[in-house]
Amino acid sequence: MPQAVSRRRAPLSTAPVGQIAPRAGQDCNPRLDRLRVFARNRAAVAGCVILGLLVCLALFAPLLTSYSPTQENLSAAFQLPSSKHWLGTDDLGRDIFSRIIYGGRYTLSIGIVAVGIAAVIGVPLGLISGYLQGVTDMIIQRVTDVLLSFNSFLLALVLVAVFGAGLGSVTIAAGIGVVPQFIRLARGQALSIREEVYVEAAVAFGSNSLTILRRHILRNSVTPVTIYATLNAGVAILVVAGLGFLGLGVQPPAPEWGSMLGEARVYFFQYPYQMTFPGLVIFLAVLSFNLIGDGLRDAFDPGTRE
Amino acid sequence: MSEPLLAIKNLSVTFVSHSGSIRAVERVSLEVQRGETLGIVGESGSGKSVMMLAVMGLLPRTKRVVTSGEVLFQGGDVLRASKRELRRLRGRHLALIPQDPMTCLDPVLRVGKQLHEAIRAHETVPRAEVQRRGIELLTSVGLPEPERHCTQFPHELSGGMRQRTMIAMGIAHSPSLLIADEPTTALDVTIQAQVMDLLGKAQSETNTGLVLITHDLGLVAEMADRVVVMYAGRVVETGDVQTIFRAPRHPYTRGLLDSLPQLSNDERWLHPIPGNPPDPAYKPMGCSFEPRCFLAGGRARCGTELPVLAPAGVRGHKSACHFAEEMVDILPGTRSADEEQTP
Repeated sequence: MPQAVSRRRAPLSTAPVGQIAPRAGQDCNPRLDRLRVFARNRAAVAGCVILGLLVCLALFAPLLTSYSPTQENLSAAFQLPSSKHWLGTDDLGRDIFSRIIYGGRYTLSIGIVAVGIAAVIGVPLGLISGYLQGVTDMIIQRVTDVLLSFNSFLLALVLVAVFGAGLGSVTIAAGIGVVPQFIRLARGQALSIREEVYVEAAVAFGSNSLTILRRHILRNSVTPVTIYATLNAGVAILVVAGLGFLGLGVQPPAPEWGSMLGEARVYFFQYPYQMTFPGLVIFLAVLSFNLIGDGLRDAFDPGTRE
Repeated sequence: MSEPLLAIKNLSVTFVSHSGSIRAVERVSLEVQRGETLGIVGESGSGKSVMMLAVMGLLPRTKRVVTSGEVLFQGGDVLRASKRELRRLRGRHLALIPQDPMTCLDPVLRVGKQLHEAIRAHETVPRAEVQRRGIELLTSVGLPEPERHCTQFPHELSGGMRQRTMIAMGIAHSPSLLIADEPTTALDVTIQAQVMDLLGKAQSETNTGLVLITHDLGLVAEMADRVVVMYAGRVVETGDVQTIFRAPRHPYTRGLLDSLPQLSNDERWLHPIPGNPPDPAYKPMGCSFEPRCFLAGGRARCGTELPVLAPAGVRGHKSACHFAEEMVDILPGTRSADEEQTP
């Protein structure tokens, strides 16, 4: 009667807090378990819902509004929110709701692509640094130290100043702004994974460093890197919005959230709603990434929860 | 006799740390012939695993790990080989089956991939060929469903299945020397027997030299041709398996044999060796075993003079005990429980 026994013992399982003990007859795929933990986390689910909503608004923007985000209409400038213009219009008579949902295409995608760039650059460097150690590690880490001494935004700002404003350079700048953090994270992962028995076993079977880095060390760092990338997407969005606010980001008339904030700043005391709504969506986007990131971390890395 | 497959000459490994240096392996010499099984026996911390890491060239090459002596494998010195040479050796000519089957497979990779990695480490073969070889290897280690096995993750396998997978990876290139570091400690008895059968089979098929690192004397008695007994980083006795088991000439070996549970007589107590192995950072000046030895009995020579490995009894049998000849009078089974100081 092994099944009956295991069912009775399930609540007494020694599984760490947060890890669901496999119930009898249930597929005990650990990844599914983690997803279940994630799905139980209300804050994380809320984050998913908010982000999903923002993404849907951006994707289906043409279906949701008949106003163009860039078409000026001076006769309809400075209108308060109404049934016609849900969130009002800006100084040039453009519908703010329309600009916000179209703007999501810029801000969200730049944020995500920037984090992708950061991961693609930072993770290999960090892994190599941690796995090879020695001089390579020293050089990479000292450069990282220098980069880390600037804050992400300042670094991005310097890069934009060098490359000029515009969609491409903002994306790259925001990405490079968070690269050093990824290097550090990946190095730490490599340092701990290289001591695992399976890495030693792979060495003992004659695998070369590249295979070990790619096969074992990279694969085993995917989870923490994903979690970190999610958390950093929020940071990247703030950097992009910040650059936009300063007029160094995506150039007008493109409806990027940060530049909308910047443009509305002039009229803040007369028409505060113009700044409120872009600010609110930036807040919601960053919040949702942070909530999702925290949820992922709690689900996949129970050791770090408080 | 032809040149041995593996010849360790005067190998010492010292770990240097802030609090002092630890001599993990001291002046060890041993040989392994082709097709031979050598059992290396000793308590935890006696240096057997460190010695085998040295043989594999897996000890970190830093200032903190000092090695001296020679490890000649097929005539070349492993300790002085370049990284590239080492990588060519490992897996193809020289394979290590790691100690713990629960942690030696990467948890995020399917078993098949890891096996293929071991196969492809030394030759470029087409994917289909690699897969065929992988399945062949898994079949040869007695896994019933090799195709399914390849698509599984390590957590889906039992300890025995993982151990077999490791053996499959170890014998993938029919190495001339296979080192099995405690291959059976994590397994239950029936699986142990199967795993050992398998190692024996793999060995006889390819005339591999097999080094069996273990503290399971039963396993050694069954499998090994020759035995090396290690204590506190030194070889204390070596000889062929019959001699070691029938007429041990070192009190430590004797203690090990006596501490085995006996089913034949009615004794209800085990006979452990009193005391613990010495702290490797502070080894006694004389014989390391002196504080625990029933022969020493306070004799000054044991406490002050380091015994060397000297011929004792039959040919090839050596013991590092000043009073090895006294062991002749104490045949196994004659030392009763009353004589022992029960701790």
